[in-house]
Amino acid sequence: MATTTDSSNTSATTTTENATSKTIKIQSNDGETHEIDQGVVEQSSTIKTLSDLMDLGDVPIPLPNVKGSILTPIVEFCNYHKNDPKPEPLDDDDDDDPNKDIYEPKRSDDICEWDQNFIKRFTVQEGTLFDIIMATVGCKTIANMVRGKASSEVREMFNISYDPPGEGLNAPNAIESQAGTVPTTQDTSATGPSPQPDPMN
Amino acid sequence: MNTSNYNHLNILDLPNEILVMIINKLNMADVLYSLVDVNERFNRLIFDPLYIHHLDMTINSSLDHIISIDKQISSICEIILSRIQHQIKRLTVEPHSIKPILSFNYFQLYSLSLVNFPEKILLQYFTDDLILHDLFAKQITHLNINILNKTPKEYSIVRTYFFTSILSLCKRLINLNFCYFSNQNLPVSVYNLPPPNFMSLTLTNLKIHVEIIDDCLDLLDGRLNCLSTLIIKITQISSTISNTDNIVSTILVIVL
Repeated sequence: MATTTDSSNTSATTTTENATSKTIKIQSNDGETHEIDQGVVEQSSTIKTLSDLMDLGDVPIPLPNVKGSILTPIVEFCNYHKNDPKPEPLDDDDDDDPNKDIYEPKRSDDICEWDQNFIKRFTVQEGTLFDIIMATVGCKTIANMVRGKASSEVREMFNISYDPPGEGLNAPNAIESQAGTVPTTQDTSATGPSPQPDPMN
Repeated sequence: MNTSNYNHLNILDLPNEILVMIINKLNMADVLYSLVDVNERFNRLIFDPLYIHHLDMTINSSLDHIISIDKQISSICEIILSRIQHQIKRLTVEPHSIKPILSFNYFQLYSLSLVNFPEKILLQYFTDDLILHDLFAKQITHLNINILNKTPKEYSIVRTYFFTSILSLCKRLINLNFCYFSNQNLPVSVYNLPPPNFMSLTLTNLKIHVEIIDDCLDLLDGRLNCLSTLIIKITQISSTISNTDNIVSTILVIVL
């Protein structure tokens, strides 16, 4: 189903401002099309590169990793943030600045209120939080969800099945009971866990 | 990409670049406690030598952790450190983590950062801890000391003692940052120290906060004869401590 959405909710007030700015069209993997202005384009390196390289005219740029239901809030997010000041480039190895506090702890709780309300629309259970990460931001939210949890709780939270060394199917008694019946690649003396088939890959 | 179940993406459908971004949003202690052994893919990302070579155990205590910091550190030491100790080249510890963390042997360690240590605690470790002594004497070439104190002025003599003792104890020291990044005013005073005073035959880079310009001149008088870069804060640019009306804070970068 192909639909076209005018994503510029504030178009009435910004018509004059954007009259001369270039607009392009982008299309989700299920055919939903959005027309976006240069301020939104600048926030996506993928779209910016494609629009710089190709003169597609009225043909929309396809975004095969993004569903229409996710593309709409992404465009909304970019429209909201298009006038934000550009972040300073990160340089973790910059030891030359004598005034840089190298012990400043990393923060992931500095998400503005609008962004916090925005991200609440997406959940782990429905998978939409990962959808939005695939296309835009959300890493801080995931980091906050993980902080303080044991690895077993993280596995449960994200529905990951894996038995680390010494646990579950890799527990010594389980391995003994499997001996002779099931081939095992587990080496309990290894410094790291032995390769396990990853059910998601 | 798990295309067969596209409507219910899992965290493991995210590319490694995004997982690394999530990892980088967390303190290393959080990463080791929460993400090691989640599955083999997380282990590969976390145990990458480029990530794991700097074991940074500083924790942002302003955040409400569900579990206690001690439990987190204890779990990391019990389950994880023995698997990575041979890869650690740089180590950053706070007072709550130094004892269990230093109980492991780090063959490749060359850089040590002691962060947010009150002078009393640091003095205790400095005088009593044989492991720390051994590291200072045999391995450490890069050392950062960051002191946290509620009454900074009371411990000026202790700080000066630390500074001179570190120079004499660390036989391989090349790079020293002594209380430079502290938000507090924590100068040392090496001017007119009674013997035995300071000397180093290896130190090339020094960042330090001193009280008066005479301290700076003493640092440059040849006792640190390999010194090539000195970045220094000077509390009082005049040469007498008594003239407190003229206190100004100055930063000098001297490349020799």
